[in-house]
Amino acid sequence: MSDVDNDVRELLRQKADGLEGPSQMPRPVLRRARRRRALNGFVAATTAAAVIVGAFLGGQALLRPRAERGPAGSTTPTVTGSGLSEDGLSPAFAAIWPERNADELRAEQTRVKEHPDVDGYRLDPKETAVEFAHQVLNWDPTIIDATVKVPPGGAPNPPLEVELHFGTLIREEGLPPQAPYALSVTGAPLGNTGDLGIWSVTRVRSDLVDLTCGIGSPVATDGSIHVCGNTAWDPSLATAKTWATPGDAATTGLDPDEASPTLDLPMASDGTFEGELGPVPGGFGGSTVIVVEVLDQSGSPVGMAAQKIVIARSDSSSSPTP
Amino acid sequence: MIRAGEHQVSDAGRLGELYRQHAPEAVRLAYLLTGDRALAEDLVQEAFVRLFGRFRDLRNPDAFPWYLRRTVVNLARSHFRHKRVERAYVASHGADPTTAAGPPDTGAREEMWQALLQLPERQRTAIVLRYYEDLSEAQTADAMQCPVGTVKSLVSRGMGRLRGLVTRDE
Repeated sequence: MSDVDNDVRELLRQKADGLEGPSQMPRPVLRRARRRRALNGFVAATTAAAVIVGAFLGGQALLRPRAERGPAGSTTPTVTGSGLSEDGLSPAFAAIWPERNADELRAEQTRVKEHPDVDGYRLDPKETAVEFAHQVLNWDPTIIDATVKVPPGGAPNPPLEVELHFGTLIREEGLPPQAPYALSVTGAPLGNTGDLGIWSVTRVRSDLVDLTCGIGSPVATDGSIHVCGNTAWDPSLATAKTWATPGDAATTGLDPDEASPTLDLPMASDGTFEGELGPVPGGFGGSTVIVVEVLDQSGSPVGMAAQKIVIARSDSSSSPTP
Repeated sequence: MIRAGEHQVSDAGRLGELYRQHAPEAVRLAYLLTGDRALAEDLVQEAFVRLFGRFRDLRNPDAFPWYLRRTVVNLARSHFRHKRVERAYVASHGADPTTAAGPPDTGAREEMWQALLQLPERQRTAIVLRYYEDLSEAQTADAMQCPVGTVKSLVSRGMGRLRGLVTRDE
């Protein structure tokens, strides 16, 4: 255990010990609790009645001939499961955050339905994108300006791009519009698409990180990925790094895990960077998330590109050992 | 009528006892999560209201401290999510002596406390549960209602930032 671990432990203990807690329960607490209990009883009774009526109506609907029933509603789950898509070039389950496979999505969907007061942000693409920037890039949500860009055309439930600007409020206070700090987070409702359908992040781009060699092609097991691009951030102050994480399980968020290949990308004076990231371990499964991050002089991430790509298994690795 | 009155008295007595037993520790936890004593007490009162409101429905009333901890964590998270003022609040109130617990720290420790308060609330929550409450990663994940991997990531990122601060200061 490091000194900092001990310092944090001691700091928390000291801060907590300096606080005297309440010894008597304030009267309003009990009154409010009793009112709440009565309300809970009413809600439970109403819900039970609604369930009974719903079950009755549902039973009636099931007894009707199939031909009389209409098409499935928009809340039908469309989760396709993890693995490869039919073309084998793109992952079947596109999300990179916070879940990476259909099972995690179903669990999250259930959790959000049970706790919409806590996880309500998952129901809104803009809030989900802001939360991504907050949790993954450490951006302060109070100074993120988010705009949803609706794609043209009338496709149902299309993926949406949410453009995030960091520090916009500060610029509005009169500072020059330098340092764009813009992040484009693509989100999609991959499971339920009704009012309680949650949004997942499927791709991240940034106007500070321009990847000039595409990283969308499948990579072979134990193969490497050529990562190159440039940054609009001052190259004398910026650093860049890239890593790959398992694409089918969100075990570490977007952070690298023990098996992740990672690479510090040397930054040229003109802001370009280039390197070979690999090898991509076979243990990652059917896909991997490639992350490229640009950090400022204090080590804070200012831009990120992240997307999931397919790991193409060679014949020798997929055939059983004799 | 007498029975109802007796029931109410015993009810109040039992809940009062639970409050006396667990409220101080819950306030400490809420304070470490929020950095504000008054807010911590409000959150804990709300947590008790919610838990008392469904106390008879709790699957295992013996696990009351566990339910309480989870409710406090949820309420703190909900507070920051809905208000979206985490940083602004800390910036405007962090140095307010009326909200501080005990004498003010000096030097590196105060700096680390301020850095801790400025972490994203989920990172701070994970660190407080792991380092103050001494919960395992699995227990922390349960309290935060998230995967174990997320807890590892949150603690790692948060501690990384704190270490960076200490290193830079050296």
